[in-house]
Amino acid sequence: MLDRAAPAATAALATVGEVWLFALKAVRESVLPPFEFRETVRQLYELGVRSAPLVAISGLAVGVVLSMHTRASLERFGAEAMIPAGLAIALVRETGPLTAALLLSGRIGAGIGAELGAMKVTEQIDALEATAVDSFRYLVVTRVVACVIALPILTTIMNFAGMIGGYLAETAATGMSLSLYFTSAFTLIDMTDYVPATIKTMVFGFIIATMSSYLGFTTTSGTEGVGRASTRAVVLSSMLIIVSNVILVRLIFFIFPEVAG
Amino acid sequence: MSKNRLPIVGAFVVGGLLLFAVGLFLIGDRRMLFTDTFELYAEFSRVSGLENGGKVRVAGMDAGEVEEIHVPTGPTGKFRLKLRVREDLHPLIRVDSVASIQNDGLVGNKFVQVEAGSEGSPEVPPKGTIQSREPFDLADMLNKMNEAIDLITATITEVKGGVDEAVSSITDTADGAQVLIADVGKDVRAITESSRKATDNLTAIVAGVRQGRGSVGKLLNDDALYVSARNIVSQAEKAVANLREASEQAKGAVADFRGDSGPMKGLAGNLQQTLTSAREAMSDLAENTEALKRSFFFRGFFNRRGYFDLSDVSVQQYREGALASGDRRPLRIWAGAPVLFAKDADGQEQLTDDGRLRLDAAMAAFVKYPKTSPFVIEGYAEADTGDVRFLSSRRRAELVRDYVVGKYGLDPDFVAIMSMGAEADDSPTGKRWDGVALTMFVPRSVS
Amino acid sequence: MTETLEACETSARPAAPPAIAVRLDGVTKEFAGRRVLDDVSFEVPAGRGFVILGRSGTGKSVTLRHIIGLARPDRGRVFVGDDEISALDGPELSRVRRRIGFLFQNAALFDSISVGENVAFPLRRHTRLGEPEIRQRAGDKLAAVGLDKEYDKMPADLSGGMRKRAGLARALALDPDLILVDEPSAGLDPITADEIDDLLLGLKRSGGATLVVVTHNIPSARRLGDSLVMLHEGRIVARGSAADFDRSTNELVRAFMASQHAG
Repeated sequence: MLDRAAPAATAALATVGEVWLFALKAVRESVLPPFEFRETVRQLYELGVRSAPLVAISGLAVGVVLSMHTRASLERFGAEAMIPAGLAIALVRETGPLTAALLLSGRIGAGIGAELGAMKVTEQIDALEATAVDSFRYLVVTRVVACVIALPILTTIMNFAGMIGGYLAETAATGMSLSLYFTSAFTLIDMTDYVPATIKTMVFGFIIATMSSYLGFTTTSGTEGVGRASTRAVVLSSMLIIVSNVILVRLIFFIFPEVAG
Repeated sequence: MSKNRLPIVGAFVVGGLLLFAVGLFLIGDRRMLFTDTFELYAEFSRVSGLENGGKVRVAGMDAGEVEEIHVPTGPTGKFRLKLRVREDLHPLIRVDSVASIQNDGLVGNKFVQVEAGSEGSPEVPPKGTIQSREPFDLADMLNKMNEAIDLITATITEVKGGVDEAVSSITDTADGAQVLIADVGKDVRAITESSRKATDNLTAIVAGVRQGRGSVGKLLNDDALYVSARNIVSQAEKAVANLREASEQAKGAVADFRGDSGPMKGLAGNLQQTLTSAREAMSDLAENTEALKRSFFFRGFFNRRGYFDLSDVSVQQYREGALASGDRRPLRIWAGAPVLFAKDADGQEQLTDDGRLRLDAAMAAFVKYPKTSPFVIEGYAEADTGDVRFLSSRRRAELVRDYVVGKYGLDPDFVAIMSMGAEADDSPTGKRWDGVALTMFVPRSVS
Repeated sequence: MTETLEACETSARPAAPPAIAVRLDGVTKEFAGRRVLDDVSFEVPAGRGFVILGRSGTGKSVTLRHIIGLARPDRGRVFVGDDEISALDGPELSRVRRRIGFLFQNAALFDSISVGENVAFPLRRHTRLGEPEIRQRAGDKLAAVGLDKEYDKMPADLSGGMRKRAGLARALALDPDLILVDEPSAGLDPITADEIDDLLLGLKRSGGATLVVVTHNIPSARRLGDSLVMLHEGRIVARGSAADFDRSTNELVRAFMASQHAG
């Protein structure tokens, strides 16, 4: 049993190492010229702009549901006035960033995994190289940069869509006005709740793009391999997002102790 | 590829950044990063869990936040709060504005409330320090009251022992001191009586607060009640100090008598003087605790229902129907003194067994009404002088109240006594009454 | 076991400036412990057709990938002209690759962009031409392979033979002087395969380009190859002209030639 487990462990470790090197290369080449501006814009369109409706609609729904739940629990304490603030702080601190990242790991991760996987098995990546194009820069760096830019923006859209959803639920229940809702929504939020939580989604974007690109780039064995790459891209990037979130939250608490209080 | 997506992508990125900036602005607006503000200071010896960033309200309006809390250097120092307040509310804040730390609802955060000042006072200068009222701490007050009760009880026992011993010593030593001794005995009795009342009243208040029910919230927000409660605690301490002094002097007097040398008359005179002032202090304390108890139980209750504060209601006003109202009418049952009361060995009136039966019979008429109906026990007494009528009628009302509250589990928040003297407009015997009347203000809809 | 035949005949086109277009020098390559190329050496004269023969999985494609730097030898060196491509990286590698056209086995068209844009892609990347010139040139290249009406179609809408011709147009976009072709006739009917061969021959004749072709199609090899090598289990087992191969006494070569004749 051990003689079979040992090579498996070695292989797993080797894969972790490869992913790590792949990620480091992505970081390095993201900041060093030449930049693939045109292609980055195209990826921002594909991965960012086209994800906006998904995120906005989900945010709206999450806001409505969260509002109904907070109402149920806060009503017991006679603290209905806290509903907008409670919802907003939950959204901005964690629900918005994490939900957006998980949704996008589904949409973007699967897309990148499948697209790059298919390009790999049909030799399109080789063809790029043969055309004297740096495939890593052209395919990976552009997606990583697009994701790192798009995630905070999409998270912000999620947050506001969630608050609008909360407002719709609230105004249906009590007829509260929009301006009162937004004023009271922001009463508990501090800069240290808002800014770090939004910025941290850049890390989520990086995770989604690099993990999925790596799996796409290392796809083997044809169409079946493409499907596998796509699935694993979603599974692994969601998992990494959730795990890294623990570390990121810990880190934010460390840098901004007032958030934890 | 030929389609140019740059404008859409540009709009996405710029729009996202703008939306993010709107969030920043909404937070910054609350933190008043974009508003003119000025600094204000207030000092408190307790901050009750207030934190940096806590809200500041001026006359109830959100006006800023607590920017910093400077910790005092020693136990006697005060926390110095630096408040950042909107400039446009500056005209409301005058040198006589008072800051207090309050609770934002049951589950809310602590905030600093700054009351608007009076029109005639000048504005507080920027970085000025305004007056503050210490946060109210219920548990703290209850503890102090309990301490006062214990202190009074212990001291009374001690003093009584000391004085008795002194008196008997004096009696042994000097037969000629009869007059003095009689006086001393009267003082000691009066002190004992007053202190019993004071401790009873305090015990009733503490029990009432512990039981909670409505009045706690009232008490939390009622500054006058809080202030008088605190005053009573310090008054109790003063009275106890007086008693101790009396006790010391009594002991000194005893020593002098035994020594056969001292100027007996002088010392005895001192003792008497001290005892008299101790008696007065204790009597004041008894009066004040009585007043507090009444306002504590009734203010909270009647205020809520639009009734007058009973401590502010004179017998005259009460007779004129101050407690009756559109939706409540008085239901009165009369009970005469000969059945109810008999004098005990000390000459004090006590409730008789027949009296209890009479009261039980009377209560039968009231039990069908809601327990939240205000219930007033009116005491009446015939006597030669007004003060004796007053005291005697109050004693009767108290005796009856203690009995019915204890036996029928009435809510002390809804039970009051009224010392009426002798006049009774609609009594069964004509214009005067000797005894008590049980009066419940029952809802008119219930017949 | 290796039978060495005369590799170079007299040059038909002495005008080509570097006499040797491609040179492999003792190239050895292993994948996952399996030796795919074992001490492979050969030279391709400029302006000539060079064919690598062999059964599937004998390392033909890997050899081709070494020439354009998609694979690196474990031992040995690969030269394209005077440049040692196996040692180049970054912009230098790009510079050499721009002179090479590569036609993949399945054409490897970028399926997210149109056929015309596939051909225009290298022009956009590596020239400073304006939009009209790029379209003009891409159109010309497509016309040369008979696809002038397919400019705006997506690759998925083309047949296998059309895709291969479009792939060729893309490989030729930058007018390379070395053209690498992986299995030109794979998956095509004989007539379409002949058309592709014709196109390649035309390039060699008119443009003076060097051709390196990997195939197991003997008729195709006869037409395109001025000289041939045969790979077996990662080693060169025979080299020479088509006529030399026909006369070979090597059993592997004879079996290969015979089977293809029959087919």
